[in-house]
Amino acid sequence: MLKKLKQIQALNALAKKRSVGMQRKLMLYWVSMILVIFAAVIFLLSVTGIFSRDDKQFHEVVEVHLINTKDRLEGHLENLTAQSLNLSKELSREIEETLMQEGISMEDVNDDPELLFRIQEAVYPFVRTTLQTADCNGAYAILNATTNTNLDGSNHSRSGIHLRYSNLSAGQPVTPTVVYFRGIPDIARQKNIELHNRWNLEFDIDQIPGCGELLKTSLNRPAEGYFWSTRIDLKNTWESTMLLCVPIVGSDGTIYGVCGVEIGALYFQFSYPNTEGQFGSAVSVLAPIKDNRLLLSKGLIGNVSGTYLDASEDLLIHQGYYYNEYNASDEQYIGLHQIISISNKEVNDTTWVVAILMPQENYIIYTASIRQTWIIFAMILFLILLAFSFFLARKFVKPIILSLKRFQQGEITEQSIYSGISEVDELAEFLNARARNQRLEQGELPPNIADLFDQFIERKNSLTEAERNILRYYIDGYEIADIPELAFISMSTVRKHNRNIYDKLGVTSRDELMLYIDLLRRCDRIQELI
Amino acid sequence: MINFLSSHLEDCSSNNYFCFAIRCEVCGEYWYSSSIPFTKALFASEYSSKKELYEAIYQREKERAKMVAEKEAREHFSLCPICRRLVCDSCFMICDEMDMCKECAYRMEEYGESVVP
Amino acid sequence: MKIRWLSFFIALCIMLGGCSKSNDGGYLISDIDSSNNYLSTLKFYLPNRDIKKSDKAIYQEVEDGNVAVCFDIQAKPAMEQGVGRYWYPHILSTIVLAIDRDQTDIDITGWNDLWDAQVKISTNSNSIIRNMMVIGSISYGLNRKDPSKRDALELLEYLYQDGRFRQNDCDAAILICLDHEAVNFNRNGGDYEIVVPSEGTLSFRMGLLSDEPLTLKQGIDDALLSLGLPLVNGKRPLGFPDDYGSAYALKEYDLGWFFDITKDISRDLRRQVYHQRLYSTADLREHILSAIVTITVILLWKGTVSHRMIQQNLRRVVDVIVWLMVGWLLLRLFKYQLSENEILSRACWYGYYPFQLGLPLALYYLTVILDQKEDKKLPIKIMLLPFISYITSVSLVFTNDLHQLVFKFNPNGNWSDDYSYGPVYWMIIAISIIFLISAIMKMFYKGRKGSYWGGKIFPLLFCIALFAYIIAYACRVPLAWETDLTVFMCIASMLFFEVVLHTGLIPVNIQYQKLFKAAPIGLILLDKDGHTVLTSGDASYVSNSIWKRLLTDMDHPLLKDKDTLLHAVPIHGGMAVWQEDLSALNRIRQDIQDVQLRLKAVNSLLKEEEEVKKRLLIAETNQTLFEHLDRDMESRINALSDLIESIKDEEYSEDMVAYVTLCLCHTKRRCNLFFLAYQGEPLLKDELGIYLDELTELAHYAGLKMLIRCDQNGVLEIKKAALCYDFAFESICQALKDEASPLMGYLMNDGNDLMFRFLPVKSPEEWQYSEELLVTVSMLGGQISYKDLDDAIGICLIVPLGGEPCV
Repeated sequence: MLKKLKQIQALNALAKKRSVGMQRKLMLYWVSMILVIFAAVIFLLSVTGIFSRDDKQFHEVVEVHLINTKDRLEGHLENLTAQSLNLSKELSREIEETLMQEGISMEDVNDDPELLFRIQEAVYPFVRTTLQTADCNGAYAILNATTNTNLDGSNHSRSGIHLRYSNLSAGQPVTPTVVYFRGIPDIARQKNIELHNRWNLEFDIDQIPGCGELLKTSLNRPAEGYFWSTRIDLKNTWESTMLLCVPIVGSDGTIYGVCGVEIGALYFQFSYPNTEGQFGSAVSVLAPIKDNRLLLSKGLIGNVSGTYLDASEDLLIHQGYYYNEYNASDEQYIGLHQIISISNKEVNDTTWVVAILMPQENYIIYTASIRQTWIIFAMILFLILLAFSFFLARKFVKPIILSLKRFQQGEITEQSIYSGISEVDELAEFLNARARNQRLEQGELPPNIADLFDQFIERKNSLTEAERNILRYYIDGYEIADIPELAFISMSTVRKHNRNIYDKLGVTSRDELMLYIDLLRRCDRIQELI
Repeated sequence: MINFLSSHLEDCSSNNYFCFAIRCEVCGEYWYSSSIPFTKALFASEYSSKKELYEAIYQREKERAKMVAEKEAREHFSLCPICRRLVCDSCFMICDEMDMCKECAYRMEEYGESVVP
Repeated sequence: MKIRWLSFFIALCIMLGGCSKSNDGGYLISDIDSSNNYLSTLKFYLPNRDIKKSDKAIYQEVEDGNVAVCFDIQAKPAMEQGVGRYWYPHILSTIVLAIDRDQTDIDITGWNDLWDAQVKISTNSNSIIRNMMVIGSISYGLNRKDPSKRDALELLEYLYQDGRFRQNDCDAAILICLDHEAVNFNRNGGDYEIVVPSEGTLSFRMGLLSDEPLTLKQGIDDALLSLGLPLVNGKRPLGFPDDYGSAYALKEYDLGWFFDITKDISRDLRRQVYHQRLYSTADLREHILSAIVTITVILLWKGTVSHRMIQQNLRRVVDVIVWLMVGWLLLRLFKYQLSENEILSRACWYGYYPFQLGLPLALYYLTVILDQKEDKKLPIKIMLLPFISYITSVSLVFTNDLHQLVFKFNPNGNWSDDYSYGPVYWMIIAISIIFLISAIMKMFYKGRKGSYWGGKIFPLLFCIALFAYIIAYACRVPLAWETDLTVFMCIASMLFFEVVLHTGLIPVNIQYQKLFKAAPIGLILLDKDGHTVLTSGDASYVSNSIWKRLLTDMDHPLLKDKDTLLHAVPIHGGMAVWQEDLSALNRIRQDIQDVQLRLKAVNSLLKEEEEVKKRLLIAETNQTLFEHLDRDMESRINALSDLIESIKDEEYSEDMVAYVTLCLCHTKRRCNLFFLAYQGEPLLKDELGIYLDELTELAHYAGLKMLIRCDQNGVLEIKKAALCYDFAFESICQALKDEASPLMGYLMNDGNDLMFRFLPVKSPEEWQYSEELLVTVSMLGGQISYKDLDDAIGICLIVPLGGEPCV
């Protein structure tokens, strides 16, 4: 075992002594230099945040969200529209029938509470059914008539029925409670429905933008003139809502009224929950856009938990390549929007958009964390490579400098100086050899040789008689192979002695030993050795 | 040394190979040289008519083998400078003052290490 | 370099392009039961989104850009985690009690009435979210202040244990269901009274969860209402009860306690209400846990088995079996993690089969190779058929979507759970069973062949256990019926292997270490690289050089040292080496050598002694010899010296000189003969003839004409030769004295005698022979006789040939 270890040590020493070509070394340095520059560039880039920006991914994610939401919303609204149109058709038939029975026109219904009651009684089941079947939180029908034209504001007060769900909640939808929001209370009593605590007899159509105009126009089909109103606050309540306004068109084209469904802000919130993703909370928004502003105050916002999105604010839009920025007064949001057509005839040419908004803050935090990781890693890589290069450079230069120093100090010994670079070694060897030759030619010997000799001769005293005998043969110029013959001992014995001699004299090879002997002979000190 | 060894070589050759032995005079063990086959062993046994010829070749090869054996033996045998006996490596001691055979070392109370343990 | 640039470029691209997200969603996803009405509505409102059944968790679907129908209890935590930024709740569903008035007229007003209601009670769905809603509602109803699931579970437990409560049974008399479901039943002809429990119940919002904003066309609420669905805002169409006062819609801050209650609801229901056994798993977490535990057990088992066996081929089979099991369990685990991805989950379901079908095949293969030698190659055809059938089975399963022969699906239904088995399914199952049965039969057969009692008992036990399980399964005994089939198959496979091990068919030894330690022959096992694997206590280390030498040549043993001889044999994956102790042998040899040396020394000593003795002996002999010679020659030399002295006195003629010469010659030859006599060597007759001729010649110079014929060949005893020579000399001397010239001599063999005759001119009767000669003649048994020939008298020496006579 010990033997093996020794062998390995010897091999290692040999490997260390072997010089490597300068070209190969330079190659290594160039590569390390390139790597350092590479790492530095990576570091700089990571500081600027190029790697950490996930804009494209953000774009993709948001876009998918947007498309999902838009599809869903479109489907939802279309569904509602279809159901409302259906309601309109039913109502128009009902009303027409009633009017026909009475033989009067719609205008005659004004100031006739009984007739209004009858009409509303007929209308009620349809509205109720619509509310139950449609994915909405309220349904209504406004008749183009009022109970008392003599009252103030009678021109914007219209009779009608408005049913809504009262107990919306996010969790388990228990059987919803229908309340009576607008309409003749007798019907509510008759149908056993609770009145809303802010109940009113009639609608204030001024509250519904475009509704008044709709009542005044004349159309052939309800589909020609339906629209979604912007978000309005329900009078006297804290709730706000968007109404789908579908005209109830008579067969002669007169507008009997307006009917439709309602999507409350709360209902929308529950229907469109926010989505938590890696970039933060994404909020779905349905809102009109005007003058590059997203009018949140007039639209609906999905669940906003996790953001500070204020439903009453308008956001200024800055278009971007991957995403848009939406600036509120104190918050900034990023996301995308897409135009969605929800009404057949827009009031005031409103353009509706679906938007997905996320707080920019979250995105920044997200990218910042990635950037931090990038910076740290790039930094570490850079430092490691730098240190490595430094180490390499040191290792490269140190032996050269050392060799140079020795050259300058003239400290050239017989042993070669290993710089580890073959070219330098060769140069050193060459210079060494030349210097040595010159000196030897002049009969000169290295200055410190005397000490060496003294030591060598000193060491020689530790040899045993037999070893000295062998040494004598070497001095006399015999080869190893000759010695058994001369000394009458076996080759193994000679080898054993040799090992001891080398150990004791501190030489590693026969060549070295012979060199000593040669030098001692030149110095006329060979006698001391004998 | 060679001559000395040569005088101690015992011939153990057979018709087919050459082999020589040296006996260590201390431990009495024989050392055998590597056997060298007789190149014409097959022919020699077949052609009795050319017996003399093969005999000559045999002798010549034997001389050569003997020389090889001597060289080989030189690796393993030493001459004790005291008792002048031929001893094998395991009986030859490297002592402080002088190398000698085991028995001499014992007799003279010299301590040392044998060449081959 | 290029690669470096490329990687740099890619890194830059990732750095710069990492921010954009591709968005290929666009479906509407729903996995809520009974939301059909709602879905059909949405189909209209979200036209560009197709409705699809979800195949992943809804959060994943929402992240992919789809829109999911879900309840708020699913949506809110998702949004907290940043999944789905947009939440569109549409329907408010309330958990109510629907009482079937066709079945009962019991009076029920709330949860507490259920304790005593003796009718069947049930929910109409067993989806986890519905269970959560029901338990939450009951808990809330039973204790509004501090709702706790214990109350609700106790109620349900009581009802279930009473046999009155079950889940998803629409025929029960009382249904715990959503209100709009009950209304729907009524619309379709049912007669249910819908009771909002008076103690309280919970309402849940159902809606759309999306990562981007939706564009819903408008009007969806109405459409939903018209289809009989209650809206988030509380709007309800007809047919719903009036009073929802006790129903409580969960707020965001309620989710904490709600999830506290409904956490781990499936397990609570199964354990606490249905009392489901602990060994079966109750929810996904326990499923996974049990699978992991099983895998761990299998791997541990593999470890022990590998440790116990050395046979390489069997080890391989164990490996295969283990990996089949682990792979199967892992695949099942993987499939649990898939939520509803139809194709992948069906592929996993098909993927089970390679493992499931592979197990019996592996077991069969195991029994086939059981008693085979390790290195023996099996004939391919033995396993060919099984293997082909396996491959065919697996490929049939995998191609099921094309042919639907294995599983038949309802073309319009959900293919991952709405199916029935086709003919091929039964076929491949039958093949598997055949493999298994053959494996068991083979085990029986091979176990019976052995002498070990376990060979017969263990397979029997295994079969009994298997049979018991099958019976128990058929009888729906919970232990068998409710346990996991996969886990059972794994355990059965392991048991099978264990049984095979215990039958003694596989050589098992866990005592190798001990065996080696105790081995007296110094046994060592070496691996392929020469490292020691196992070694006896007294075995010494095998060095590298020795190992190499052994590797080259194992036939010849080799010396480790002087006293140790190593033998080796190759084994699988190495070699076994054992050592032979030569020390005793060496000692004896040494003794013999010593004795020899001593004998040699003694011998040489003896030889030396002998030589010394010999030398001494020779010296002694010589001395005696010379003494003898001196004695022998003394008279002659004296005579001769007298003669020579006499020559000085008298002026003798040359005859005298010749005579002296004759004497000298005789003395000389006599000395020769003397030495020869000592040497004991016989004398050639020819040589004697030469000696005699020499005398004849000298006698000539002295004036005696003579001739001696010696006609014999062969050898003569030296004593007799000497006698003859002396006789001739003395005769010559006498003849000279008598001047009896010429003298004829003849030496011959006469039968068994040696005859030396002289014929002088004068009568030799006067001739005086020396005492010495006469003694010698008589000693040798001879005689000197005179022979009177016609005109002369001859003298004749006769000596018998042959051995010396006894003295």
